Amino acid sequence: MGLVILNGKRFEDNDFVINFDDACLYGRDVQLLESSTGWLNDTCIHYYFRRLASKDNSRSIFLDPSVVSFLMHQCDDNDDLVDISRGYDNWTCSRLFVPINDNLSSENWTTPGAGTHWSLLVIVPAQSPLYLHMDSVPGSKNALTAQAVAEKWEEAYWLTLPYQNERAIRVQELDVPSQRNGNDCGMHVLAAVRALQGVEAEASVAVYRAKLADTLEKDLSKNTMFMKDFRREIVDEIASFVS
Amino acid sequence: MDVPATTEDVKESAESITVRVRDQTGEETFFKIKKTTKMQKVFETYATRKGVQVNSLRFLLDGDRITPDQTPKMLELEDQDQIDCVLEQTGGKGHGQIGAAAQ
Repeated sequence: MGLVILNGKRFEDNDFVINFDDACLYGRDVQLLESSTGWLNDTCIHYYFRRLASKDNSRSIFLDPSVVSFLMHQCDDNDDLVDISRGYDNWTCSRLFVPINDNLSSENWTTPGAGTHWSLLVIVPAQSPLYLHMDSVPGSKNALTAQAVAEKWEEAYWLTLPYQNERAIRVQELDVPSQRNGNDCGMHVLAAVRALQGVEAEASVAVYRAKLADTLEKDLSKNTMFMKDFRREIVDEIASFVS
Repeated sequence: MDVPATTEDVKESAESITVRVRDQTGEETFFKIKKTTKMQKVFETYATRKGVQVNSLRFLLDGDRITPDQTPKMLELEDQDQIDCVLEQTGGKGHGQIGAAAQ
């Protein structure tokens, strides 16, 4: 059993910590964020995405990793796909931030807590659509998963329109800073989304790339402890919500 | 006017519905619960039946997370409505690519 202390209060693994906009954090989730070697689970990512969404004015959607899992494994007919597409305002959002986990295309996905790697897919519907994949481990298998998610998403998108369009989808790989250990891929996803939130959705790929060079890349080169500090910042904010 | 409304409320709170929980293999599990029972009770019973930790399961209604303190009434669930159970995912590194990424 692990223990985390927030605002002077002790939380064990299964103790409820906070509910922020329906993202419920328990002791063990906060431990994953707090430990410099913790592997983030979907709840950590969902929580931070809700935090970003609460400050967002770019009409971006910060997709819950559980919904991505649902999209890939449980939408077994067209009705399900249309429902999810309509429910998420694929029509009117400017951009979707989609967390990609390798377990989405693994045979092992029926085990709770499966997966080894997070990366980020950004979808900009207005750019016909644009699919940008960012992976802190270049050449990982997540590129294939991102392609599968993009194809599924586009299938759902066209189902909501009165006409169909079959075309080859190309997911572009965007150069991002590599992670420096075997733990921080989830943190890289959070840092990238935080940085890119300020970029106009309709901006060119070059602008997206420049923004990351100017933020995440600089932060990491200036401060080798950057991800550790970023984890601390998130946990401190959670502690401030604990009454 | 107030009195019948209150009576109606009491009647509704005692009313039971059947909720279907669908997992990622498509298997459905049925729960008969009162409209005022917290969903936590469903989550815990379901996890015990499946032999997994409740914290490794996520429950979605039409793509939104259900929190343990919500009730069917708050969620406007009706008899035979379906909720979806999704599994915890995790990640920290890549597939055998760490050597390439490490400094």
